[in-house]
Amino acid sequence: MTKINKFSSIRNNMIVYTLSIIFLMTVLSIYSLTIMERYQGQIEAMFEKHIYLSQVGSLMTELDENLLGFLSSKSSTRLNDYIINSEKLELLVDDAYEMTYNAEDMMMKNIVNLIDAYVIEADKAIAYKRQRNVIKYYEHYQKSFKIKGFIADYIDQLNNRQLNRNSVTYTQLVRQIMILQNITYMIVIVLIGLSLMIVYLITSRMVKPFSHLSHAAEEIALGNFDTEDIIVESEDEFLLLATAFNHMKNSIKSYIGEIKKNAETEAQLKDEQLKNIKMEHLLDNAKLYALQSQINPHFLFNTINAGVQMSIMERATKTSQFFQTMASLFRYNIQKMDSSCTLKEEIENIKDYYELLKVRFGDRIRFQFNINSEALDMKVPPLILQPLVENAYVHGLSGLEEGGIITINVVDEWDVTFITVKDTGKGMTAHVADQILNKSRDDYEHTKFGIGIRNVRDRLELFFHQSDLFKIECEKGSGVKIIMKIPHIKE
Amino acid sequence: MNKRITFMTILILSMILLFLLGMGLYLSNSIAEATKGEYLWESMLPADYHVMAILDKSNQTYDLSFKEGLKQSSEDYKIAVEIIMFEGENVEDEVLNIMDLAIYAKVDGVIVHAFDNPRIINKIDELMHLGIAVITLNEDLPQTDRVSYVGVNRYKIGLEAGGALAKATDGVGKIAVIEQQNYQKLSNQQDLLLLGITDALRDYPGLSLELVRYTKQGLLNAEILATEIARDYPEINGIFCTNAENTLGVVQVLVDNNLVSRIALVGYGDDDEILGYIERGKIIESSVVTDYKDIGKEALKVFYEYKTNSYVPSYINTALQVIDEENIAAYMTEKSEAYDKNQ
Repeated sequence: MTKINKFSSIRNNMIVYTLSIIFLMTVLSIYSLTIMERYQGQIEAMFEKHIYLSQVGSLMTELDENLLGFLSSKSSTRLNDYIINSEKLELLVDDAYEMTYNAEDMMMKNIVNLIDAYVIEADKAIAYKRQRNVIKYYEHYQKSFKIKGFIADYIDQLNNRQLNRNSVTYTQLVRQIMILQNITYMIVIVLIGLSLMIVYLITSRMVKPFSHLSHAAEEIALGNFDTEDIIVESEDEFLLLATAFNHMKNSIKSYIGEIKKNAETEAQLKDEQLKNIKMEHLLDNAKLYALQSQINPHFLFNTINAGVQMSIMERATKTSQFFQTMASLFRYNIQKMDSSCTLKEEIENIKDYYELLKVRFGDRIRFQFNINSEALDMKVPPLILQPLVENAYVHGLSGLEEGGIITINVVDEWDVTFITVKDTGKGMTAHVADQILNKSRDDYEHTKFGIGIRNVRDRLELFFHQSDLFKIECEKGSGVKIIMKIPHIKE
Repeated sequence: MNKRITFMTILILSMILLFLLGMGLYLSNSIAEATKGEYLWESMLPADYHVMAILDKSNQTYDLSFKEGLKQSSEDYKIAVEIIMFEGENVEDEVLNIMDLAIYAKVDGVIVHAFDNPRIINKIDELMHLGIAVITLNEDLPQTDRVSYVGVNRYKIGLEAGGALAKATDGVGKIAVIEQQNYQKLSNQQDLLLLGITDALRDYPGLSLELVRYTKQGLLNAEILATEIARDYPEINGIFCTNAENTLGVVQVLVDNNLVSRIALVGYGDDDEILGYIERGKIIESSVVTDYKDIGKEALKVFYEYKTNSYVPSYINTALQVIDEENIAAYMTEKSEAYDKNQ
């Protein structure tokens, strides 16, 4: 069973894609917030120092008023105010300066140190005032006043610098905000593009396998099972679906193949049956023609038997022998008409036939038997030799005054036995021989010339289920040689 | 669409997105940085020392070259320099006032255009006593506790000027000196200058220093003086001006009154106009040039060495050169190269 990767299931994929889009939108939001924060920081920074310096300036003025108030009236309220404002000022400038990185830091450092110096001088002035040392307190007040002037100068300078820079910064800010706006537009466009691509990816990933499945299903509905298997690269539920679909398609295809094969086998069987029917038909024909050529063998057999009886009674031994041979020949012909026989029986039958011919023609027609076979018990179709021998005698030798020889050779060679029927008669041309062999079986109805030879050939081929078992070698004036190849059948 | 193309598009879009985000953040960051003041130096390091330079606004010595020298050393030694220029009639009080500011602001050092004045001398000692290192310009003031004096040797200027005048007048005639004097006579250095000229003229019996005139600030003063000299002292055949402004004023008088061939002029400084008159020939014979940049550099260097080594030379002379038609080409090339280098 196909296993899917649990990390790449449709649900997980959907979660990943959705999270991707959420992530992109979050990035945009964070980016926008960061930029806004920077703007805010920038605006604050532009005015932060102004506000701070303004506070310092105001406190300095108040402090100086408190100091002057105390020095002129010795008012404890003024002194108290002075102390409070002095602490406030010290607190305000406590962390105003750390390191000198630029000219403004340097000025700020000066302001801080000057405020320290101012407080020291003011404190001294207060102390001398309390001691009623007018000259001294005035001297220190003068110093503190001078320092206050320095502080005011520095505050003015710093404010001017800030103002100058802020005007430049503002121009830059406007320009940079425009650039940032354009960048943000571009970011939004890119994000839309990315989101669209992700949505496209999700839909195509889900729709593509469905599309393949539906197309394949359409093809199968039209009977085309030769479509390629659907390949799904992902390891999700679509893989399961595609695998099941492919399996179903291949199974159906395989069943259809088997049905086709069975149908073909049945057709072959029917063909075999047809062949068998034809073979029976041929046998029937053979029987018919044998009967026709032998002119009612039963009547003749009975008649011959009566002849045998009569020649015995008349003590005519040779005649009796003749009739017995004839009777044996007819018996064989009648008995073997429906079944197979051995090669030996066929040869014995021909020998009987030869005895008859000897009575009729004496030594004018002679037979030579060269039987060198150990396969004489082999089954062969009946009456395969007699038509050939009869053909040799009727068409080859009967017209010759001097007679002739019919030679029958039986020789084994490997797993076949060659049976040769050869005569020394008139012979025939190769063209005639070819005509005899190549006439179709349907032509039997139209001519009876060569009918016995073809009958023997056809029965041999049908019996052994082989072709090329029959061959005629001939030449006009040199007799005819018919060779039959009998394959050894293992039973 | 091909799967690979889709992924490639997503990749490219992601990279563009990252680039745009980075660019946006960088830009917004630069906005945030814009409110901060410019750093003192490119290295963006904080300063180790704070030095207040108290300078005479009317003195040509403290022009761009001098400030360039200060800037260079300030970066080398991480010294934040606060330049405060004084001007007006009561310069002594101005200087004292600014030195008080230096005390209250608790600076590490002061470079001051000093005058030979008891109040200033006392203030210098007070600063030194408070641990604020004082380097003097303009006046040596060896009697104070100051760390060091940095500047040109006025006696040497006198020697060079005298020599140049002798050369221009062939050692015969009478010469006048037009000297810048913004304030009352506050400087012994002026005497040193004249002493130098006198010493230089000793080798030329036919040539004598006839007249010394002091001008107030401004070009017109020099022109008036030069016109008076030309009118009232026809025997004068050589004039030496101690600053560039006066030199150019005198040039106008000489050209307008067709006196160029009668009176040889030795100027001061290396303004482009002055160098142009030397190059064209015979309008200004020569000019005494001091290296103001070197003064600025040396002043801060000596402060740093004082702070780190404690032992420093108490008197530092900066370079001096006379430019005439013989070396004007080489000097202008050198100046041009130095300018290009600084750009």
